[in-house]
Amino acid sequence: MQREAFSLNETELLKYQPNRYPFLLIDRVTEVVPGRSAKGYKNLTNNEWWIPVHFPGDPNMPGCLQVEAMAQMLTVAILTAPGMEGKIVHGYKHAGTFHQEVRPGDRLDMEAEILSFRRGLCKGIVKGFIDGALACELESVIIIPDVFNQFRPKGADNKIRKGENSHG
Amino acid sequence: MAEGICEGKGEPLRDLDIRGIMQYHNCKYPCLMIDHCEEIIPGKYARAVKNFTYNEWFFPGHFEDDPNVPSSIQLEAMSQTLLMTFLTIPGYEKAKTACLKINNVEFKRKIIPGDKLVLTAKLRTFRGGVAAGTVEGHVGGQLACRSDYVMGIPAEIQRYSPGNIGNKE
Repeated sequence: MQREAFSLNETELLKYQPNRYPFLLIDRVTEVVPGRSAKGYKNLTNNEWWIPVHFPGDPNMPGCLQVEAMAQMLTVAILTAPGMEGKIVHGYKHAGTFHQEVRPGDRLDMEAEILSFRRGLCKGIVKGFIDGALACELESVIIIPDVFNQFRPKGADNKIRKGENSHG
Repeated sequence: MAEGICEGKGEPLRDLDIRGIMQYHNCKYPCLMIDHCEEIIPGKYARAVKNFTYNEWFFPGHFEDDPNVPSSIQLEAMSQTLLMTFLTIPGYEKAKTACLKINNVEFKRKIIPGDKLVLTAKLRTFRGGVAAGTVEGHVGGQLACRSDYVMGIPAEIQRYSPGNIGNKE
């Protein structure tokens, strides 16, 4: 279903995104089509908590946080859909590629696209750019447990708990 | 650029990133409020950039449901840009500084996470360890804040103060 695109500033983003300081790694969403795609950016500055330690004298954004920022942009595309505001999201599988260092003073532009979203399980790809040059990529599978758990076979969990499965 | 009362001292510097800034500046995380210096003419002029991102320590508290940049942070960013105009003069690298007077401060608009503050500092005078100058900050081409500063290098002022002149060798 095609819905209208809109943009979010930080105040509006806080309504949809459950992440908070110091782990909300998006500053502005310039264009989001709920359930389909999200574009936006994160500013990088010297006044962030990883700067003194990663690395002393040569600060750059840790790859795991680049993955987190891109995954968060993917979740924005889902959480803006009706009834999904503020839901918790879990990462299920990430495959990231890092092409260049992301440094304080840069602006990391991110473009997320949802490939499929069914039964609380979302597959998507996200690309990160600095000044138009590709900086990082992510192929990701994420889960909204609230929705996902409704579709889980009931017996599966119990079996594992009781140790009845063959490889238990 | 300001009519130069001060002569430019030292070579102009371009595109100083964080590693370059740290060669001249004493401030460190979490009180380093400039990210990148695009152009510096030592003794005269400096242009720096500060990115604002939600992942900074003052946003969760100012304010919880409406994050925007505290005015004191804007003052600090402006003063650190002015520092770059005279700490880049040969012999003054990494000098400890103190703020002596702030005047004509104006805050023109709200700055929120995701904004990029471009700061331009013009040094008017720099004598006897005392520097006076003006700094302006723009967001998206619009004036966001401005202020006049008088800043000092205490060790240098001490050297020139009357009580110490007789002690000089």
